[in-house]
Amino acid sequence: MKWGYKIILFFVIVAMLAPLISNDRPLVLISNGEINFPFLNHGSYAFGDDDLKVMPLIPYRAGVSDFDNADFKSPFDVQQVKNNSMFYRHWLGTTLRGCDVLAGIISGARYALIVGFCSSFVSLIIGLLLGAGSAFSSVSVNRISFLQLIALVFLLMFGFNLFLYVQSDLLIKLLLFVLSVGCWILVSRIKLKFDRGVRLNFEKIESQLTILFSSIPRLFFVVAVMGIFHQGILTLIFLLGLTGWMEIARVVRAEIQKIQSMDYYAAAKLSGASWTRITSKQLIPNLKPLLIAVFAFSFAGAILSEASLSFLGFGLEANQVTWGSLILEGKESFNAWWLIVFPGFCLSSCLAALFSIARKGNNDIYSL
Amino acid sequence: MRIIGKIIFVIASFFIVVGFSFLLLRHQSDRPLQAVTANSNFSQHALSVYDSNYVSLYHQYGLDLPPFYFSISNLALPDSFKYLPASNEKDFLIYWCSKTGNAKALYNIYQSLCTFHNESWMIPPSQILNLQRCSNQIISSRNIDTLNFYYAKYYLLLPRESKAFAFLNGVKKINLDAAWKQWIPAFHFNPNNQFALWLSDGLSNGNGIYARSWISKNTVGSALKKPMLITFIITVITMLIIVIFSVVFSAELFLKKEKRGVRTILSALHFLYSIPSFFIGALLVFIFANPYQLQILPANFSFAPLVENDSISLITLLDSWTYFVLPIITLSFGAIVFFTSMLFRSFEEEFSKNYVLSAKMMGQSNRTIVYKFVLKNAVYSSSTFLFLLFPALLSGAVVVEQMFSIAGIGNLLITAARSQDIPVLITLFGLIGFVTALSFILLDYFQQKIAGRLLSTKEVKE
Repeated sequence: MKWGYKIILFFVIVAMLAPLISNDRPLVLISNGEINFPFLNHGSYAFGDDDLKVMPLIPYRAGVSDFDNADFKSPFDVQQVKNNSMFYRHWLGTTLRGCDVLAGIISGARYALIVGFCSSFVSLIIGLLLGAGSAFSSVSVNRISFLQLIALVFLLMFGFNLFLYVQSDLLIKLLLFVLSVGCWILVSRIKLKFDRGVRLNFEKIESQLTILFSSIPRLFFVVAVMGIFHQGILTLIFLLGLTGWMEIARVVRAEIQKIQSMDYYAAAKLSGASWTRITSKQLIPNLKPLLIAVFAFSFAGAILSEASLSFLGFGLEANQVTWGSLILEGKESFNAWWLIVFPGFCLSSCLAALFSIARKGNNDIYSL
Repeated sequence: MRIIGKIIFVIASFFIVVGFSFLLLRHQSDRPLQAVTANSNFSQHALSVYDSNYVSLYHQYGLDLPPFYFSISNLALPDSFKYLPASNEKDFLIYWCSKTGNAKALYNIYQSLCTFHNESWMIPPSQILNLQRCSNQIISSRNIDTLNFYYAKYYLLLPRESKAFAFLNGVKKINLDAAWKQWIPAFHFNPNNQFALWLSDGLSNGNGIYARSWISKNTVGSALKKPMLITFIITVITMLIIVIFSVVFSAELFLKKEKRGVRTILSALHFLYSIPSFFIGALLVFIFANPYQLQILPANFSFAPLVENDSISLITLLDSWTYFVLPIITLSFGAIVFFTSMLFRSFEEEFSKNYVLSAKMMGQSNRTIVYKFVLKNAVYSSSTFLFLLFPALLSGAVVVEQMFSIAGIGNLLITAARSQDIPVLITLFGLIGFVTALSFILLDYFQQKIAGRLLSTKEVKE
């Protein structure tokens, strides 16, 4: 396995086991002959020192303050911890409120991977649909008759009016819409002699849409929309996914067009292979390394955007600790190097791993 | 012709972006007035719709206008009903319009309701409660018979000399005769709309609601003037530095590529590229601007003579050069790494061509070949990224300006987003989109020129 995959796998494992690794509740608690698993519950848990318990490796939770070690305790400082044991030490220091930095980094890995994966998945789907659609439409000429076009515009207007301003039952509305779609299909079968029709150039529309979306600076857009709407992880994922598909669409379209010009593709077509067979045997295997590269690249971009957004104070909610918010807290103090170095190292190693995966997938595009 | 098409496309996209942001604002129609008047009482629709002050303000700022030029609805529903201030009355009117198709009568009822609430002091106090109950029943009724019943009751209760009576006198009983109109979709075109208002006198006069900042009460144009200048200065200097440094670095690295140290630098470039800019900025501040470490350079841009003086001149710019060092290093780091490795690659590609071989045969040294012949062609091939650098730097400036507290566009964006200052947000967004689209156009023009040049040389060869 390449080292890029190894680092990402490490972060994924840490993120998945985050509540088991760093938690202020014990994993197993045996009191009065009862066995409990307090880390599964969200409520407060009272337990004495005499009870038998198994604590996680890092006995602190992200964002929970420890006031004995408040005001930026360095990793090498003398810390006032429970029983003076090494086990309860803050290994990577604390923040202003005394939150453990290591627990914050683990929670940050979790949020970075969730936001990065989901938003790049959204943009992968949009980019695949648009890129593949424009690549296939460039091969065959699509014509739509003028009558059909007018009927389509009328159908769209009718549907819009029907579902927004007409006061009626939903069932009747749906029935009417289905009926009007049927009418449209009937109308579109009529062929007039003088009606030469309009050429539907999906490729051109897609390329213009790509330019339109790539002319929006990502951080600007997300900050502006986040200012109007509420902040949260779902909004963030949706916005980052909506602003990240352009590169994917461009690359996928170019690659499919390249495959279509190859001899093996023409041979498969001439031998009478069906569309599904060509897609499954020719297109997808040849597209796979490129897709992995493109996905890794947009994954890295989404993680970087999320970190910079939480550095700016936007994006996730205030109690969710991420790498960017830790660096933001480090900016408050002149001496707190541990708040800048450790999250920054995690972030850049994650990005370097993803970039190396992208380079392995396609050296021509992502070789820097 | 392609360029003209692109320009038309840019203007269209500008319209789409700004129009879309107006549409996004539809769900909080009271927010502008609350911000302008600093009066939170306006959020209560039912109370404030009969407040003449509220209604006149609503009209003055053009909030009763449609947001954009086109809208789709049906024949029964007039366009003006959709932009009424109070949602309760609006729902009532939309519902009854689509039920009856009798928009004119309904509009008269609405007007008489409004005038009744304005002149209620003329009515004896014993009747007021009764009348209010009647009007509430009219608004909430969902049955044609009850509507007509309460309409008649209301009509009878009104004093004969009032304005509301005069209105209602002209209104006939509401019939179900034109309900079929709701099934026919219709386009509405309004040349008088919020978007046109914002475009026409928004930036210059400052009359519309979107023309002035809701927080500082200044016009958006004056709020943007100085931040734009500062950001422009920083990005232009950064671009120059990026171009000069990356060209020199890549050429020198290419000339000494056989050495072992150079090869390790080249492989380290991949790792340097993946370091985010704010991490580098924070490290630089920690090392160079720290009172406990080396306090050589200032980190707070707001103390620069450039910002403190009202007018920006060359002298103040030169005076505050130390304040520019850390932001520019932070902003240019990633781009320098990117361009260095890309130019290095294109040097390698160009060096295998015939003209280099002929220059070598004529006895030119490697250094003159690289700087005199190869550099030109190498820069042409990477010109795509040079043009896209400007918008990318603007986006990166958001983080850097926040870090060094530079009063530029990025800082303005963040303060506007924090305080929901929507006029500033919309203008900034349109401006940045416009600049980016402009750089796309320039890129297209430049590439066409180069492509033409290359094509002509190819044709000559053939």
